[in-house]
Order: sequence, then structure tokens, then C-alpha cells
Amino acid sequence: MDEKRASTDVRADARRTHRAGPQDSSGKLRKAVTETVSGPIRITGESVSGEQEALAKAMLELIEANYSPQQIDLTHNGQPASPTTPSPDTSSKRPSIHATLAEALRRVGYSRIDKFAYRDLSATPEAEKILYFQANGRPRTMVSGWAGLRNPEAQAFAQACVHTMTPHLHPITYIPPS
Amino acid sequence: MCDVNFSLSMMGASNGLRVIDTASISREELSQIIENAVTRHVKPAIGTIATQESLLEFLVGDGPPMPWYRSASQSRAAQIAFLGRKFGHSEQQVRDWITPHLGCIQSAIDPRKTTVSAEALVDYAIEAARSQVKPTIRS
Repeated sequence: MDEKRASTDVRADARRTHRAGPQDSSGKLRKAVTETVSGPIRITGESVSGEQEALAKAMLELIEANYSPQQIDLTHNGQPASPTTPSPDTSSKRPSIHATLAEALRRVGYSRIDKFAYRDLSATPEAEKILYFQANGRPRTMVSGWAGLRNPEAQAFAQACVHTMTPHLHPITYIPPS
Repeated sequence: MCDVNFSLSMMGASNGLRVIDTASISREELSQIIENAVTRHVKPAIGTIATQESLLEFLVGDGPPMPWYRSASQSRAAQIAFLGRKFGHSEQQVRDWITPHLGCIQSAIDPRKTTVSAEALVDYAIEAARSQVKPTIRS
């Protein structure tokens, strides 16, 4: 009975969080999730209603907002993941990808200007040179990189032109998360 | 961040693969790959581009590391229109630069979502440059 009530609380809190945004999640909610979400989450073959889908989305957002990947115990078919395939990035002794890239690029004359973005210090404002990266996967270990050239004035003009002509299309270029 | 860009996978980074699997290499190896890509490939390819004029020349070109078919060709064409106008190049000259790549520009436009053609986009960019950009540098 208590378990059922706690589960209902989580559902209600998850709905509130989904509406208010993950930043509003309270300690109470964190505690409720910790106490009730302890086993594997099972996906059945049955059809899923819109409400169930929204609830699942809210719970995932809640978990991602409150727990680091290391805290989330991923299991496979209810069994712990094989100990023979640990993720190399779970080691806290290893420098982060951010730190490694920043240090390597600092040695070749680039400084960090944003998350995963680095500017060539020797470049001029007329032709800025920027390197940027993206880490994908779970955990985020697959790294892609791009080198870009930018004249801010020319780029702003071009973006306005493309947007005017094709306002409902996304630009066909990678925009890294800022 | 930069409309005009190219993947480091074309520059010898990640052994030709599109991504670097950092889980399978050490941090030292990752550092080495990135440093090599920058010093041996990126800097020699674009290191000398320091002015708007050299940027225009680079954009007009079609060689590695950034051939037209691998770049944001719509934005690239508009930037050429902008810089060409700024340097006082004739509109015909700008068209001559862009026209060979109309196919790339067109292929980047999803016909299911818009009826805009590559020619129309280029015409608009050249016209916008004429009305908005004042030639400041004589070539």
C-alpha cells in the first residue's frame, strides 16, 4: 500500500516537474525517486498511451536532471551489465575529454571560447578560425571535430539571406551545443 | 558557430574515420591525434587565410579540405556575394564564381519543404548585397 502511494507521489511530482521544468525538482522528489525507482524499468510490447509517454518522458528528464551518468546503474534484462565490459570513461583518474582537448589545443595556439569550441589565437578578426567538437554516445566518448572559418559580417549576411529565402529550413551545417 | 566548416576526419584526424572513439585510446593518444590534425593539416590548409580577400579566394575555390559538395553551399554562396560586392567585383563575376556550384546548392535544398531554387537564392543574395553592402575595397 505504502509502495503504491509512493509511486503515485512520484507520478504526480514527475508531472509537476514536466510542466515546471527540471530545475524546479525538489529534494522531496529526488528522495521519492531514489526510494521507488530501484529496479529495472521494463518496456512492454503493449501500446503506450499519450499520457504514459508524457510521464515516461518526464521521468527520464527528471532522472537526467538529478543524477550523473555514473549514478545511474544501467542494467540489461534486469541483470547488471557484464563486468568484463566496463566503460573506460568511468574512471575518475582519467582527465576529461574537455580537459584533454583544451590542453592539446593550447599547445598548438588555440584558446577555449566555449564548451568544445576553440579559437586560433593567431587568426585575425577578418578571418576567424575556430575548432569545435562534439561528443556523442552513452557515455559521451565518440568525438567528432570540425574546423571553421568565419568572417562575422559575411556570415551574418549569409544567414539572413538563407533564412529569408528558406525560413522554415534548418541551415545545413552543424551547430554545436553552446 | 561557423557555417563554413569541414570535418577533421578529412584532415587525417581519427585515422580517416568520422569520429574518434576516445574509449579505445588513451588521453595521450587523443592529444596526439588532435595536435597532429591541427599542425599537419588544419594550419597548412587555412593558416594563411588572414584577410577578407584571402577568405573570398578560399570560398570561391573548390579543393580540399572544403569542396563545395561538403560545405554549407547556400551560406557559402551568400558569403561570396557579400565579399565580392565589398571588394567591388562585378555581379557577373560573382555569378561566374557561383554558377558551377548551383547543383550543390540545389541539392542542399529539400524540395519537399520549399520550392525555392538555387538560382533564386543566388539572385536574392546578389541583390541583397547590392542594396545592403557598400563596396569599400577596390580589387
